[in-house]
Amino acid sequence: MVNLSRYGERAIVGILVVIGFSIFLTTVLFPFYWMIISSMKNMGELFAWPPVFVPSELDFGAYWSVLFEHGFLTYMKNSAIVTLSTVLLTISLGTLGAYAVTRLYFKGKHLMQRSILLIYMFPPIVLVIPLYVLMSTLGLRDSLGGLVLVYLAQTLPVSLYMLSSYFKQLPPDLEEAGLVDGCNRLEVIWRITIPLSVPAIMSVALYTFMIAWNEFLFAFMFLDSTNKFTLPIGMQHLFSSYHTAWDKVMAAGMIITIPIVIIFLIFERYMIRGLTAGSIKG
Amino acid sequence: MDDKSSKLRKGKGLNKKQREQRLALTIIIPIFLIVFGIVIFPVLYNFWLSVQEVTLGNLGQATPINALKWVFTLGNSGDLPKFVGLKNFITVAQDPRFLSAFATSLIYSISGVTLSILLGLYAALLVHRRMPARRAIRGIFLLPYIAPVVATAFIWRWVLNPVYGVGNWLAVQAGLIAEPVAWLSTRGLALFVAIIFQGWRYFPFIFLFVLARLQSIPEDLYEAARMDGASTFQQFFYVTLPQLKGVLATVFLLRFMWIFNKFGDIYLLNKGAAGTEVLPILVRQYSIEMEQFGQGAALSIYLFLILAVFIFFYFRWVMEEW
Repeated sequence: MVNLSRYGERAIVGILVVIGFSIFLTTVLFPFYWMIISSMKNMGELFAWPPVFVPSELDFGAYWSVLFEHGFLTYMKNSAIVTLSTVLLTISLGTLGAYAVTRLYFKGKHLMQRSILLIYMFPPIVLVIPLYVLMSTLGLRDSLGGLVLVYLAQTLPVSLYMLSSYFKQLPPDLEEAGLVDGCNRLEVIWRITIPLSVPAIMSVALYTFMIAWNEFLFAFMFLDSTNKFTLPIGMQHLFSSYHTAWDKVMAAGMIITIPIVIIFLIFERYMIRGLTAGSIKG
Repeated sequence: MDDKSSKLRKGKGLNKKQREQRLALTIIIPIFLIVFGIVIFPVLYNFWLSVQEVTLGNLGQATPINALKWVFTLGNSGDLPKFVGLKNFITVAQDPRFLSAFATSLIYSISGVTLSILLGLYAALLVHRRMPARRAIRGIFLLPYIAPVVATAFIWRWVLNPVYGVGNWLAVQAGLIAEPVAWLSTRGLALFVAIIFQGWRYFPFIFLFVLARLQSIPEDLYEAARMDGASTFQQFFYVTLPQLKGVLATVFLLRFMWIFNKFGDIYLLNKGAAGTEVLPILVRQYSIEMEQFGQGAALSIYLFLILAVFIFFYFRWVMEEW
């Protein structure tokens, strides 16, 4: 290592910090800024060369058209149904299941604990062909219910893993006190464990929300009828039917992105916890 | 038996342990059924599909019932998709696209993950400082990862549009290129863009992990280093980096596995055209476009085997206490 003077070193660190912040902030923010303004530009400015960086007027026609002429209201409804069902089922089954894994005894418990992570590691692309054929022959393929089932299989292992490692840290004394007072296990879970685990459950809920809301592969492979499309498939469909309607495609992008960003802003703390804990231990 | 089952049904006369075990099973069975039906069974079913000739014409016969019938009659039942042995595996392996997609997948995954790790590390070091608006900046850095992949991929397509793309205009102004380029449909360039896209989209993931790890490095280590006269750079190379080694190796393995199997990013950017055809894109082509579901299944098994190696290392190295 070159023996730099303290002064010179501080200057280099300072330069690296300034350059770093400018590069990261512009490369992260500019694409989103471009989506926002492109969705609101009029046709002339949308395709202007050189490009227009600050639109002279805001035109919300693309949003109206996407929502009411291109079926995005339906896609939003479908996305909401799929996402909320996945989240609710994941946290209810996940909480009960994680409790059973940490506090109750049953045959095959050890095997199950070990397989949870292994199943989580399983990449969707390996499952997509057999599931496509399987669901086609069972008539479940082009349905929102089938999609929720597929998402559950992705989110349940993570939620079991996250929640059971959280439950393990809770002192069992409180629960035992509840049991002595005459509560049964389900009442103990409802009155003691769940209130103590709100942060962990929130993290699971948000993590699941993000997975279900953003999911592309399965929805794209399984859904055929436009009235069942979720938002990501709707956006892909919009683009493949109107290649040059960039204002509409960007408006669609905004419609998909805004809900997840709002949720992130409100629940940032839980979401970050979910993102890190959901992917790795420790 | 009758006596016992009626007792079980009412739940009375059971001791506490038995009651708890029954509750546990009531909870676990539905979860198990979902995971079995959607993950474990399809994996087994995939092995069966991979030795059959399944096309759109006989897709209706490839039911799970017929698969079970085939297994139990040792392949002698009629009225089924055609058993072809290892033919699908050979067809796939002999397809020149297979090897080239494998190579593309490797290049794409390794360079993309390396790039996102370097960016994530840089970003984490930037944010791991006392400064104003730290939380807001952390939130902004996470945006590419939080935003749905469809939205981000289409933003990139629009920015890089060969005719109207602002990216082209900026690159021309900066003197990087002489005239607008068709980034996503030029061989070589397209893969380059896909790799940059990956670095951009997934650096926040590494950023989060590294940031969490940075915060847990004991301050004493830095104090001791400073006492020994270590400069800022020396502190980074001799204190910070060794402490981050574990987390960096882990995220590399994890990201590599996920990116190697990722379909959406490249499909949405350019459908795997112009030299970006990775293995997951090929899986879809075999099944949906060529309607050869048996061959698609065989290809999935190849992918699964490649992945199994990485899963093995993951559990071996990372999950020591697993």
